[in-house]
Amino acid sequence: MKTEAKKGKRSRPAVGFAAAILLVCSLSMTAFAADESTSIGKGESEQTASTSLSYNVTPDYTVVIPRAVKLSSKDITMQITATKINAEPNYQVQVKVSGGLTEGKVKLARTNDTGYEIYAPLKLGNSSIDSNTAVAAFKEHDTTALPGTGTLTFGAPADADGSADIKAGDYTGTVTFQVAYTLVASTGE
Amino acid sequence: MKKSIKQRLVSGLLCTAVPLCIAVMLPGGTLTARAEEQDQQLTTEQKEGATQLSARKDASYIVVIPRQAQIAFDNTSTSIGSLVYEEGNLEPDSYVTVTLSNQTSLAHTIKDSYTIPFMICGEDKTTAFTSVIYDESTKTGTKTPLTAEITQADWEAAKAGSYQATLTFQISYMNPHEGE
Repeated sequence: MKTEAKKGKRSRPAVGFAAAILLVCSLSMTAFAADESTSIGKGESEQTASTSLSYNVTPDYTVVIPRAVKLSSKDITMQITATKINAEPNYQVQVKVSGGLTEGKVKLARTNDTGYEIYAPLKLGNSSIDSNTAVAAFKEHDTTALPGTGTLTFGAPADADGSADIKAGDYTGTVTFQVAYTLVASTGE
Repeated sequence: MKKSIKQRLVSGLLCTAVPLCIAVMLPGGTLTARAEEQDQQLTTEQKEGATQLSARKDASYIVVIPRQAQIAFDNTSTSIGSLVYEEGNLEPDSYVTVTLSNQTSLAHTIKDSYTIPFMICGEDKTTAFTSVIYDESTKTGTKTPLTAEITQADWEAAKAGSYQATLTFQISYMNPHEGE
């Protein structure tokens, strides 16, 4: 700030300039203060202000699926579990089948004879499933799957004609699962 | 067929005894079950995972072998029955081999030094039977006829009495992919 002052007499342009700068600065500071803080001056009618505190907790979860399942001529069950669930109230951690399922059945191919395939039904309870079925669902902080979910059942494999009299040999297949953090209705389940 | 003029007391009870019918069925018809193996985790960073599925059906087969056969006197060619591939569910590229692993002499039941040479043949009655293979393409019920061939000269040289021989068949299963 430049000032030119004569002894005993103030320079009016300099003072005005300085005041302008101060005003700009104060205006700027005021503008700045309006975003981050509330200024309360002496003499203002409102002498209280609030400070809002917020903290976002990122949803987190760990769902566990078996790496391998060996099928049988009898039903085989498979559990989908969770070791950690931290979800918002209107959300669920849902697991769906994302691959390997066709018309409710998984496919296995015969080793050294991949042209021959067998098919095993995959069910949730007594119901067939598809790619939209939440085969496991968890909410909030509960690592226990919601009722009616979490336990899948593989039925006995059969050939393309539905016969359980399949050819001898070893068979392999894959079923893929995908987990998603999903907004659900306010009723929750 | 020229009969010897010598009266034979061969009663016609020339028997070839083979082992009891061998019906072999590997443990089959059930799929093994086993509990889950290692788990994998799906998280906010790893949203997708796969579960490997497997199943196994054990191979099985039934081969039927004649228990015994009787050779009529003075017959140069006698059917002694058939090997029968009665049932089979084999793994890819696998096969069952039935081998005539041993045959004793057709020996007199009292004086075993008296023997009648014979040959076991297949359907063509001229080639000595050694083995037969049944594989995945073999239809169930397939028969392999066997005959006992004795030359006329050997018949004529045979001394009177009852003769007996034993044929031993060995069955083996081969899976070329085993251990892969």
